[in-house]
Amino acid sequence: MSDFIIPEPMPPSESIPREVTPGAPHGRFLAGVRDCLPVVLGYLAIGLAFGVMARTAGLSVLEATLMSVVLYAGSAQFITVGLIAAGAPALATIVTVGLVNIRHMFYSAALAPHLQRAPVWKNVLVGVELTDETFALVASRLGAGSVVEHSWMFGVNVTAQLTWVTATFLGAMLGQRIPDVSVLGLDFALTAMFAALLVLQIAHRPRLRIAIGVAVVAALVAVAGGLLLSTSWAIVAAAVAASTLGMVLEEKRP
Amino acid sequence: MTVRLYVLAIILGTALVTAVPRILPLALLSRISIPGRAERWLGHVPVAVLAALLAQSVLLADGRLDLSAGNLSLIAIVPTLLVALRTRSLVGTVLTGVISMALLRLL
Repeated sequence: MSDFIIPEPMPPSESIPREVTPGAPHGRFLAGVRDCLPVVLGYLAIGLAFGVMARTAGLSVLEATLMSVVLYAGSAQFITVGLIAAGAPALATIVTVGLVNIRHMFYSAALAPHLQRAPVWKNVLVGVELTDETFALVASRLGAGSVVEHSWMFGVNVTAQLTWVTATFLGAMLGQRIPDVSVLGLDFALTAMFAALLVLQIAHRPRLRIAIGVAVVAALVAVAGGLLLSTSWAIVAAAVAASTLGMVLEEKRP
Repeated sequence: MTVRLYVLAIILGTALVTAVPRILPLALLSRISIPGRAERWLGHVPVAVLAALLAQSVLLADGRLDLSAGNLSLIAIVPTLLVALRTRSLVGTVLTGVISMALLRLL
């Protein structure tokens, strides 16, 4: 297995966009599948847990699996199932999930400059499967002037969702009969992935100090906001506050 | 193996309100040239989001701040971050994290 190591940042070039994943589309798709491994570990653990929880809350196997196919949003699915179990009105549930998932707007917007000059349908297909984790994977590859390959993104996205759907189905089918996988520590895979990708991405940024400042402010806002608002809205607040700070600092001392 | 209408309506509705913010910026912004200032702003979003996700998953448990020794994530993140800083390897870091957590749960 080849490892996922970000090369040393190249000198910024205005004219030649940096190809993030060179090679034929077929090879790039497979590279995406391979790079998705940390997400696969995490989604297996959490998807199984979701399937079990959905059954416990009274959903059928088909309902639980359908939700992972059509909605495909980790934390929002747990919330949805909780609300269904509580007998919440459908509209209230939909509004709640809309508020929880509004943060994806920032992921989608942050990707846009790197997926220019592509047919709209390709960008729609990339966007519809964006999650916190798949965005985290691609985020570590975003640098000034870098180009993200659709085929690599598709490799990541398809692998991640396939894992999520399969794990949901298995969890829902087996219910309480499956052993507790938390002992394997797999649920920590996603946290560890965020740590690795944060380090990689900071190292990748042209201004190290500003990047560290952005990270510290974002972490503080995310935790404080998570206590005061909701964890999902805190991500939005952290992204807005820290990115604005980063931009201002960058412009102050160019 | 049934799908109730109430559940189906919720699945379709929640999927719609989730898909719109996922798709719309990518579909629209990739068609226009983004002003330099906005692009610089967006350039900071990945670091901000990654730091936010990491901080929440390590420090918050059920919506509460957990700085106690009982918070295993807080302990497991130390070797994980060290490996990330030293090796810059994603797979190595994830394996370190998973193994650290498994060992901590054994204790």
